[in-house]
Amino acid sequence: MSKKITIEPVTRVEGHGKVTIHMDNNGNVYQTRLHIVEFRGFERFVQGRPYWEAPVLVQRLCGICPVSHHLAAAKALDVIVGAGTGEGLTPTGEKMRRLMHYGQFFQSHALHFFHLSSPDFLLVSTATPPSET
Amino acid sequence: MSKPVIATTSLAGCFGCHMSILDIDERILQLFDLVEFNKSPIDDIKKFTKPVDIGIIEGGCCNSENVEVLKDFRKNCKILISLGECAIMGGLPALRNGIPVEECLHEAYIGGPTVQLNTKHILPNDDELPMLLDKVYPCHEIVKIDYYLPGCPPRADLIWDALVALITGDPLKLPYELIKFD
Repeated sequence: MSKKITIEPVTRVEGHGKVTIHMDNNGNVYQTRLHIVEFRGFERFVQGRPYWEAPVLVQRLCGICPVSHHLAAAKALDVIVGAGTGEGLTPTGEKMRRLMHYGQFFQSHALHFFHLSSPDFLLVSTATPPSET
Repeated sequence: MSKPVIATTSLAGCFGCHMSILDIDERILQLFDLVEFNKSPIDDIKKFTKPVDIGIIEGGCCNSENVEVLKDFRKNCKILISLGECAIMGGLPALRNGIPVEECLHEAYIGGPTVQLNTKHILPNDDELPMLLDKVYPCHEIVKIDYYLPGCPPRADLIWDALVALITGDPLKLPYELIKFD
């Protein structure tokens, strides 16, 4: 009997996902698939909005890494307003963005270590019923 | 007395509200003393294993799976809380409500300037994927919601105060500073 194992939801990422593992009659895995089950349509609905809204709108793509999306939109705005691809930024502007990026980096790693990974590694016996995951 | 049981989920949200729950910082240890978590991304329990007292919903409903999960929460939770703008009114994803869903899919997968590899113009259409809804719906249009905590995301202090008030039965005081919408 071929068998399918479904892991849903995948909880250690944003971007609601599901993993299906497909096995043949002998129980060997022949395919593993990652499904991104969420579609929100940012690509279309940011169009037509005031351009200065973009950094704040795209923050909502991901509550785990909002600053990264904010900075990406800010870079796009640089081009739109004629500040080029970096050379038009003031030194202070560039430093601020670097600081924000490092802050995001630091926050993301702390979050991943303290809230996402460590409890799974350290508390797995109490946090997860044996029948699951 | 056994501890109240809490479950949480993220529907059409960004997990920002869950991040805000974690922003209660070291009080999370107190929270684990006060309550027991069931189905939630926080402990990775994927299915309800017992009746739940407080269900916390982040995000509105943008696809059939969101609706199923939300109904499952209503069935298993005594109290349901809509946490954040998306759950309360659809939030940012509801900006697509004035646009045909086909246009959104086309922009994302076929016509958008950053689409490069989809030469066969395929739209996601796998059996494993949930059906997209025509619009993004706030949770209270699908099931009964008992409490609403506003904010994008709601402040960590707001979440903490509301949970403590619910658990202890004390009246909830919400100073103006805590009710922020961004």
